[in-house]
Amino acid sequence: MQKRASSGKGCVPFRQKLSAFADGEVSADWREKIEAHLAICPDCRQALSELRSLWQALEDPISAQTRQGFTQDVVRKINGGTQSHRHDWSHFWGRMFPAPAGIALVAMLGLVLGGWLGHSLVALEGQPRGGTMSEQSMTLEALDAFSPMPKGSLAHGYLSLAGDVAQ
Amino acid sequence: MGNDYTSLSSEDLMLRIAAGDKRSFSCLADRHKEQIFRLIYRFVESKDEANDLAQEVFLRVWRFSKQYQRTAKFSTWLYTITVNVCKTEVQSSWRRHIRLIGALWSADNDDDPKSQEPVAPNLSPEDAMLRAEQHTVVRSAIRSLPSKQRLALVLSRYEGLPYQEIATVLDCSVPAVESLLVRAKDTLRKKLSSLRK
Repeated sequence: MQKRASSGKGCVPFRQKLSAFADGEVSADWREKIEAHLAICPDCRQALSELRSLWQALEDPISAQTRQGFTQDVVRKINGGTQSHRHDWSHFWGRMFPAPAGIALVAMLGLVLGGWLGHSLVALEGQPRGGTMSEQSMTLEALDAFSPMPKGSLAHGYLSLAGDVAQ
Repeated sequence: MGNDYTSLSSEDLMLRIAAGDKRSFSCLADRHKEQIFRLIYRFVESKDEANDLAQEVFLRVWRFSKQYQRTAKFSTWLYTITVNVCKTEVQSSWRRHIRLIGALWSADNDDDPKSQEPVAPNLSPEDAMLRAEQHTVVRSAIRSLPSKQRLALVLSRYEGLPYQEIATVLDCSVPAVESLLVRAKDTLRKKLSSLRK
C-alpha cells in the first residue's frame, strides 16, 4: 500500500513545477519525481487537474481574419515610402510628453498666464497703500471684493486698459 | 527558373526580401498574416487595431529584412517583431487615450454583429450565446493580465511555442517564462473559476 503524502511543505517544490509539467516542459528527471509524487498526493493531483481544466477553459478559436487587401495595403505603403512614420512620430511625442505631465504643464501655464494678465502676481493698483495684510483686510476697501469688478481682478484690469473704468 | 514562391521556405523568402524582392514579400505576408493577426487580436481589443498592428509587423519585416539571420527560425524572428509591436502599443500613452476614447465611443456597439465572432452553426441559439459569452470572458481575463504574462500565455496556449522559444521571443530566461506562466495561470484560474463550475 502506497503512503499518502500530506500536503504541505513537501509539496512546495512539486507545486512550483506543476505548470511546466502540465505543459510538458520539465526535464526527464523532474518528470519522474513529479509522477512519483502525484501517485501519493491527492492534493497535487487535484491541483494538476485544475491546471488542465483551466487550459481547456481557455479554448477560444478565433475565426476573424485580416481585412481584404491586407498584403496589397502593406506593399502600397512600402512603395509609397509611408513606413509608419506617422505612427513613430505620434509614439515619439506620446512618450516625450505623457498625457498627465502635458496636462499639468498646460494647467500651470494657464495659471501663470492668467495671473499675469490679472495682475495677481505683481503689485496691484487697487491695493491699499501701506498697512499690513491684516490691517488691509479690515478696511472698507476689502468690501470692494464683492463689487462686480473688484480692483485687481482680470475684468477690472481689462477695462482699465480699455479706458472704461476710472483709475 | 520557375517563380513558384509558395514552394520556398520562409527563410529562403527572407533572403530574397532582403535583396528587395517584393513578390517574395507578398508571398511571405500572405503565408503568415492570419497567424500574426490572431496573435495580436488576442492582445488588443479591436479587429481594426489588430489589422493595423499586423500591417506594422510586416512593414518592419520589410524594413529590417537585412538584419534577419538565416540561422534563426523565421517564425521566432517574426514573433519577436510581433511582440515588440504589441509592447510598443501598450506603452504608447497617446494610443492608450485614443483607446479610452474609443472604448467610451463604442460602448453602445457591443451588439454590432461585425464585432462579434460567428458562432458554430451546430449549436442551439442558447448554447451559442453561452459559448460566445464564455469566449468574451476568457478574452477579457487574458487582456487583464500584465503585458508580459499575457504574451507568454498567448504564445504558449494559442501559438504552441515551447518555453525556450518563448524565452527567445520575450528576451528572458526559461525560468522567467515558467514564472510568468505560473502567475498568469493563477490569475486566470481565479478569474475564470465561475466558468468552470
